[in-house]
Amino acid sequence: MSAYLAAVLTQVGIYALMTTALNLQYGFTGLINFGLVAFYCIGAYAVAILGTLGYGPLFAVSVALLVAAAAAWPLGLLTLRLRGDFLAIVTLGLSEVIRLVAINERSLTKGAGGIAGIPQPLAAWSPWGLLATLLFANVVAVLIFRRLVRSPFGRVIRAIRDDEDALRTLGKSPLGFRTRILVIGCMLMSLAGAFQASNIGFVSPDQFSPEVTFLVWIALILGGSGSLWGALVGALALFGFLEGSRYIRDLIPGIAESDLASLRLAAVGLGFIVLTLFRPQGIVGLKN
Amino acid sequence: MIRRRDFLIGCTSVAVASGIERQAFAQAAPFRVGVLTPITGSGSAYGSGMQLTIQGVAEAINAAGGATGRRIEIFVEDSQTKPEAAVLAAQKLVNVSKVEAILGTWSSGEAMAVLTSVTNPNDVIHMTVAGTPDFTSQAKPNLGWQVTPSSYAYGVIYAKIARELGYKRPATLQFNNASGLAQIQGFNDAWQKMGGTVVSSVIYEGNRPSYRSELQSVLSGQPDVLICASYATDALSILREAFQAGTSANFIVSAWALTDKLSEMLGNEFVARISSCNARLAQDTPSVKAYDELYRRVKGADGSSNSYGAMCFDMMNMLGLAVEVAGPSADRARIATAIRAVANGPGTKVYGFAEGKKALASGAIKYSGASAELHFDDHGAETSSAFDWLRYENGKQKAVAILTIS
Amino acid sequence: MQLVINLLINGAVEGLMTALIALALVAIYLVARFPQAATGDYVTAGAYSAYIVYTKVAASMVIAGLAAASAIAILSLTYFFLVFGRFRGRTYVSPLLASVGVAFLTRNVLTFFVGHDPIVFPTPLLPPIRLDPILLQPIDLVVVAAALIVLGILSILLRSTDIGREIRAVSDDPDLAKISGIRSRQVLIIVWLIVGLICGVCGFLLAIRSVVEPDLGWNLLLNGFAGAILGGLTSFPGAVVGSLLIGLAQELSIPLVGGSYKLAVPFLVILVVLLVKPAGLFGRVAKVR
Repeated sequence: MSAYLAAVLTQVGIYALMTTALNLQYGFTGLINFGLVAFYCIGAYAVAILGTLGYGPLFAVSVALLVAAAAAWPLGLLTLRLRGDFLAIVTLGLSEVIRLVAINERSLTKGAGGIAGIPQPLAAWSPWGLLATLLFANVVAVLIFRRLVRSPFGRVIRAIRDDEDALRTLGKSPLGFRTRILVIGCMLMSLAGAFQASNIGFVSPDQFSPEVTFLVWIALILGGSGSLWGALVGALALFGFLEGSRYIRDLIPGIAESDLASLRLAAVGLGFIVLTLFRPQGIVGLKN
Repeated sequence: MIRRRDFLIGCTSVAVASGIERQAFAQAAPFRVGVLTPITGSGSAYGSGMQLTIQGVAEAINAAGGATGRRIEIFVEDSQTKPEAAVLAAQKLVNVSKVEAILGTWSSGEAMAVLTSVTNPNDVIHMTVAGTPDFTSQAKPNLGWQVTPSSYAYGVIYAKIARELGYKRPATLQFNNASGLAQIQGFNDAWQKMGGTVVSSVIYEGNRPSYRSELQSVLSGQPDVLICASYATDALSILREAFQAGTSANFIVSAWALTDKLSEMLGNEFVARISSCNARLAQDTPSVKAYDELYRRVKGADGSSNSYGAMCFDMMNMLGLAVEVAGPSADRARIATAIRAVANGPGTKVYGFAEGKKALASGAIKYSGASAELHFDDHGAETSSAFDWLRYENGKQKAVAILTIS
Repeated sequence: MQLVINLLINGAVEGLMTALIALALVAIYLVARFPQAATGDYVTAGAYSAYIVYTKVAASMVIAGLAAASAIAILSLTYFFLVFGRFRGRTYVSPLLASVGVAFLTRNVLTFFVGHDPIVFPTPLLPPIRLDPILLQPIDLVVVAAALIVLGILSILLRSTDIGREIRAVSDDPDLAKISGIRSRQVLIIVWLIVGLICGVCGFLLAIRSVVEPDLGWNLLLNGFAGAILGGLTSFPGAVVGSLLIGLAQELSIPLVGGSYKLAVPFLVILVVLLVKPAGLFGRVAKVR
């Protein structure tokens, strides 16, 4: 039982990392990133490819972060001038392109079959070793978030949200600041991917569909965007919903598995509807 | 003439014996098996049938007194055809439901993710229908079983079928995943060895409402035969479009793509142009019959409409017989080793659990499956080298010849 | 050459069906200001409704199509009264998440009753009409005709009727519209009704042309969204033109990039267009308040 809980909490930790990153990008800076799975994918594949080639985990993770930054920076420069909704579709498109590259460029990624045998460095202390590291990473992420929000840099961001033109007259370019937030957030998402690759020991393109982006957004909104701990609470609530719904089976013994699968996901959907109607600010968020 | 005293003694012994047996059944710990199939997601056309088949076989095993008196207890989870979801489901099965084996993973992604993160670390038996070669190379000895011939082997047989039918201008159309790739690789390699060339080839992504453009692209080279490495849903779409496109090409299609809907939808004349192949079975063996009967009962369709169902039928029977062979005090490692003995033989051929249990009294057995004769190499890969060439006769699939990989 | 013409036709037909989804998205975005994530599942529900009516009630395409449209109109209104209509005056995050919930709920209630197996609509199979080098599928003609009829009706509705004027007014400025006496809530009801009708028809068209399965509409949502964005997200003609462009570009790219990378083409098109015209093809610059 405890191994199962550790596995679920590991997923919570990985998604919480991405949710905090999204909180930074959207909750704080108002950037609509619908392509976050692209960076998750980059992190996972970087660790997978380098890990199976024999490089150490620290090196692999560093490369993962660098590649994510290298992808996020031009993305930012190119698209952050666009209206929010358009940024959404461009980032979504990017994530689809990355997924197609992962499937088709077999010489790099071994294609649809995926990469197995990824070293799992913390497996010796399994299942709690990875979880502890993940927890540490999440705390660091939240601290980074807090530091950024309270820094002069953060004040600039808040100023951008309030009055972009005034900021421009002062000679500061909003684009540069937004880009930096984008990059930091994307690096965190890449880190989450690196953790997942080490956790499962296998990566394949079907792990990186828009559904992941979608789940992270749900987690953020569930927890309450803009609040410091909202991301963690949201990720916990999301997996609570998803894993908890598995046990509906015990309430309705004898139900056909096919019907149960439908009931389970329908319950999740109903849950979201009820939550938005009666607690729209999320679990931790403050009412505006 | 039976004397009354002997008769009474006989009755009493039977009563006592059955009482003991019932007690034994009740006292032996159940053998827990996890069923992890794609009930939802892109594999959902197969998942439910696979799951119900395994459950049906488990019920039959229990009705025959269980495996070494142990009742098979089934725990079901939905893999959603997604690796991450499958991993959590497998974690629940292994760590909460305490299963000793996981049966039925379908997509390569699910199978590999569950293998590396759950079944290998926990020494759980894992039987899959996913065709990826990585499965057997990564699985721990005796713990991973790939109950399907390799996708590459299927491709080689497609080439042999094409040659038998005298085609000269094949084109290939494949679903973009590991299995599709391997089938077409097998076809291309074999075809090249025979001195032929492929006229055109297109790869398509699944989950699209229409494949008409891909089909037209691949037909633009005027092939005489189209090799389709596809699944049920896309094949339905592709073949229907092919019919409506009025092409004169014929087809060689993956066995699992051919559902009972096809002849219904396209008519006997069109489906007569389709060939396929599946691991060689003596067509009317008792296991095939038993599987077909079971599938009809649990799913209301022909057993041949879900190739993976037959593989799952075999999985549960093999496992049940292995538990029986390993004996009442066997640990998981003994059971895992027994699987090979049961599947490979040598021994008396048996076609189901009840028959196998009885035959064990007189010596070793070899289980002959509903999906294949079954033979596994040291890595747990199924090594069928003989295949049935399948064609449609009056809308029903029939084996017309045997082809081997040489 | 034959291939190119046929790809063009396919692209146009698929673009038209995507256009219907894009229109539904734009309509809701205009009056309620959020992307309606359940649009795809409304379409899926339409496809299943058409199938059920055709096989259990009357084997007539017209009846199946009308039934699908009506069923989803009712579905759409039901969800409006129970869910979406309660979000007046809030940011778009809430109704967006709610629409995700509606998507899950709709899809899974469907599969609970109909199962997860793929379903083939018993469309009569007809050989193609050969006008060398073009190959026309009779089904495509039905699809194109139906889609054009829907577009035509919508167009007339928006331009020439009172309600159309009111829709445009509410979408431009809801507060001003309310002051000038336009009944906003009634306009909303009409729009959700229309969206339901469009999704129902789209579902019917997909059903007769493709294999019906639970993810049918959801798989197209991305392209619909792309078409809407390309058109400017606030323009109906833009949604249609955008979707057509994307459909054409996607199918025509197959000989160049293959059947897999073709899925990236819509996004490339959007990126290029948005770099040149940031508001989309027909988009209007957002008003400053």
